[in-house]
Amino acid sequence: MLDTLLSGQLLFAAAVLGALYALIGLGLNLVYGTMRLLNIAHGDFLMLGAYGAFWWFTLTGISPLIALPLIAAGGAGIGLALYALVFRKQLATGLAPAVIEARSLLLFFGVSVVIQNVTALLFSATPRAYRHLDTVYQIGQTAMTGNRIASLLVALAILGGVLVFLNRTLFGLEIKALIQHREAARIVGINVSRVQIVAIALGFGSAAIAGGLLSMTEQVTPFMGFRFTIAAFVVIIMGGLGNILGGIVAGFLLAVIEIYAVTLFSAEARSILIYGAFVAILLISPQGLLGRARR
Amino acid sequence: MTLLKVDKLSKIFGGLTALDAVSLSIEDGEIHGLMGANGAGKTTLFSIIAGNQRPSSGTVHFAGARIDRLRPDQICRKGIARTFQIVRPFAGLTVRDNVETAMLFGQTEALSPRERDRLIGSILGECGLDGLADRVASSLTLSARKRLEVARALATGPRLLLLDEVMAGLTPTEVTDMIAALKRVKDNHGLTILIIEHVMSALNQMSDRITVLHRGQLIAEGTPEDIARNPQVAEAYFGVDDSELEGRP
Amino acid sequence: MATDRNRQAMRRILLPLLLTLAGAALLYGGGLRAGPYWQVVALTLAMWIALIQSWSIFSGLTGYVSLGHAVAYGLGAYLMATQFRDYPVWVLIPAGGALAGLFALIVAIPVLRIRGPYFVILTFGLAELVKFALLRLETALGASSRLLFGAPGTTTLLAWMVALAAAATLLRHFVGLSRFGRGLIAIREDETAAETLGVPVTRFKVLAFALSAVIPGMVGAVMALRSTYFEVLQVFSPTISFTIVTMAIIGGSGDARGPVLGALFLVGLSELLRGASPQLYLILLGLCLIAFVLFAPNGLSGLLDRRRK
Repeated sequence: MLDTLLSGQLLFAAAVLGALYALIGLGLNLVYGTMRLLNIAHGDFLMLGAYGAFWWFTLTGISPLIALPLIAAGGAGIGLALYALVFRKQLATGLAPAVIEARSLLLFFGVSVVIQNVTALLFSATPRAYRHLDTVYQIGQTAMTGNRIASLLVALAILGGVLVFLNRTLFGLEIKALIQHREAARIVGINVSRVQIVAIALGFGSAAIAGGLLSMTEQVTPFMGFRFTIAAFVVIIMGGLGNILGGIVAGFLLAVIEIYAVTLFSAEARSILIYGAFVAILLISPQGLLGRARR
Repeated sequence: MTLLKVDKLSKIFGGLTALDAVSLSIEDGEIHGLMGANGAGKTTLFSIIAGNQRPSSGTVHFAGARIDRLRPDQICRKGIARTFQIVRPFAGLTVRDNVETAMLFGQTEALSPRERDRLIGSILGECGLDGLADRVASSLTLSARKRLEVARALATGPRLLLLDEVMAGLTPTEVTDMIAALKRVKDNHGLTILIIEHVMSALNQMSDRITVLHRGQLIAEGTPEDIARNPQVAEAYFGVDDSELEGRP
Repeated sequence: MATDRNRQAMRRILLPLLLTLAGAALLYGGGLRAGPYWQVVALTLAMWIALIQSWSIFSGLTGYVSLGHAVAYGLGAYLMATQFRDYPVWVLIPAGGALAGLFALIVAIPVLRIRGPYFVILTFGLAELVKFALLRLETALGASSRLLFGAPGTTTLLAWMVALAAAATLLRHFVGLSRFGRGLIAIREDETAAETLGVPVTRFKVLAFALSAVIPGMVGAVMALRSTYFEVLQVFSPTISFTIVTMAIIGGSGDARGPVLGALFLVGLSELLRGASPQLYLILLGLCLIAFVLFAPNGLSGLLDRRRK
């Protein structure tokens, strides 16, 4: 039993899932942190990315990894369109953050229902899948498929890239400043709406990429996003809302818990566990376990 | 007779000491001023007395009974009402409904609708809100919202009224009106008042005694004249912010 | 002055009472006369009115948006589905309400410490947790779905459901007028101020939360009889909670009219789109929600008020 638990196989699975969780958590965190928008449609952007990758591969036969920039641009584009049509005016009204949070939750719920059902209408609710890079590589005791390795590497590369961008570039620092001190950021002359646009593009784009990666290993359906919305919320609440690094750590933590629970108990335990963690964390510490970015 | 007795009250937020063993007695029927620079701990003291925050240590007794473990609504029904520095009207309700809500919950005995109407009318009159009863609170000017804050506190039927900067941001005429209104209200309702104010002249005009807080500690207490002559106060308080000197008589 | 008071009593008490009874009579009588198809439509309408009004007792008055009311509905249905063979229906329907109310009372105390949007996502997460835990229990019991044989006919169920809708409507209206309701509204407007002015906020929130779960529990029990078939995923579906919230926003939850308008809107829309794909219906619903949040946050009821002024 102990051998199974310490096996590279489980750790590898946890790493692949953790990188995806960290990636979607990162996107949600950016959008929430800079705008206080509670995007409960986040997982639906992942779903759109997954469909993008599926159709790209089915129609062109070229690896979806090549199409990731395109998929990211698509996600970012839809996000920006939503921002322009729905959220920009709401954000400019000077409403209290609490009101913006409450309204954005309802608005994104509407957006989620529309996205899911438009997708179902266009592509039907039939699950889709494709085979790509499914060669198995044996490294020591651990068997890894090519697509999982690729998914892990790409997700890590993007996480690293975004971290460098946030910590090393002036623009990234502006985003972080806005997350931490909204009013102060405005006063020191940060162009808030420009930062918001970049945060939207990064946030929604990274969700779409996560979907593209996921589509190589999981079935694609119009309603698949929901589970990931919840996971993303668990991740950012666990890591502290607006706390980027905390969220990445929490993403890997959640994946480890999930993979081990499924192995130890059963696949059905997964939902109970994710929602259980979600409820427990909110009850114990609504500000997050790993740190407080606000106040 | 001592109405409110604060004994060695401390409040620590994280590593920051907001109040440091503050003791204070408020006599029945007096107007007691509370002054100090921003961050001196005045509002924290109010919040603890009113039950919005728990003290880290120390006790508060009101009319002989210990209250520092009670919830805000229980303290309110014991006869302490507070206003908020940043006003918190029920923005979506009318002025009348704001006051009536306070009356329904703050008063210990239920009033008949007729008595309520009469009392609401008289409180609105005292606070200079006569014509505004049916206005939605969010549509009021700052001055009117400050007065609504006082009216709502009065409607709970308090013995002790805690006023947190009800004159900040008002014009000199409005300040004069507010002082007159508060004196009237105090006499009509037989109140004791503890008042935080940055408008020094107002505090000096109204207060029987003044307490000065500085960085969480009580540094002086006495009549307005005592306070004006106190060198420690001059150094700690006026030294911090020269503009406050202007208000000194 | 006296006539003023009488007029006010008339406007606040007698008129809503009469309107509700007239509406109930119309819904039941109309349903009976119009034949089986319309009976089902009337039943659906009554169900949503009962659910949204109950939700509004808590969420409309306190401003705490609950996304977990499917649990109340589901618990009532679960009790009916599991005990139908052993107990009479007239015991199980109130018992379903009591079970839902009790459950709400127990979870309310930890849950209601959380404010704002976190409360919303927390209620949602909790509802999903209950759903999956119960699913696990049912699988362990070897009962993936349950059938109910010998349930009462549609006309009987319609009568009960209309009664529940009327009860929920009156409850919502009179709670709104009461001292209790005034306290809940104060919590919605500013919880700290309410507390400082003497409103026992925790007690009121917990009571309102529990109260708002009772009728949905009874509605769930009746609906289990209606579908004669019970499956956890279907009955505890988050779609129920989301539909309640959407309808409450479209109708407006500031008074007892809003939920009726919202339910009429929902049932009207689904009748209009009968035959069209269910996706189209949901897309339109989502778009309506967005439009109302953006342009008419007080719902249809708020629009009516604005027109009158």
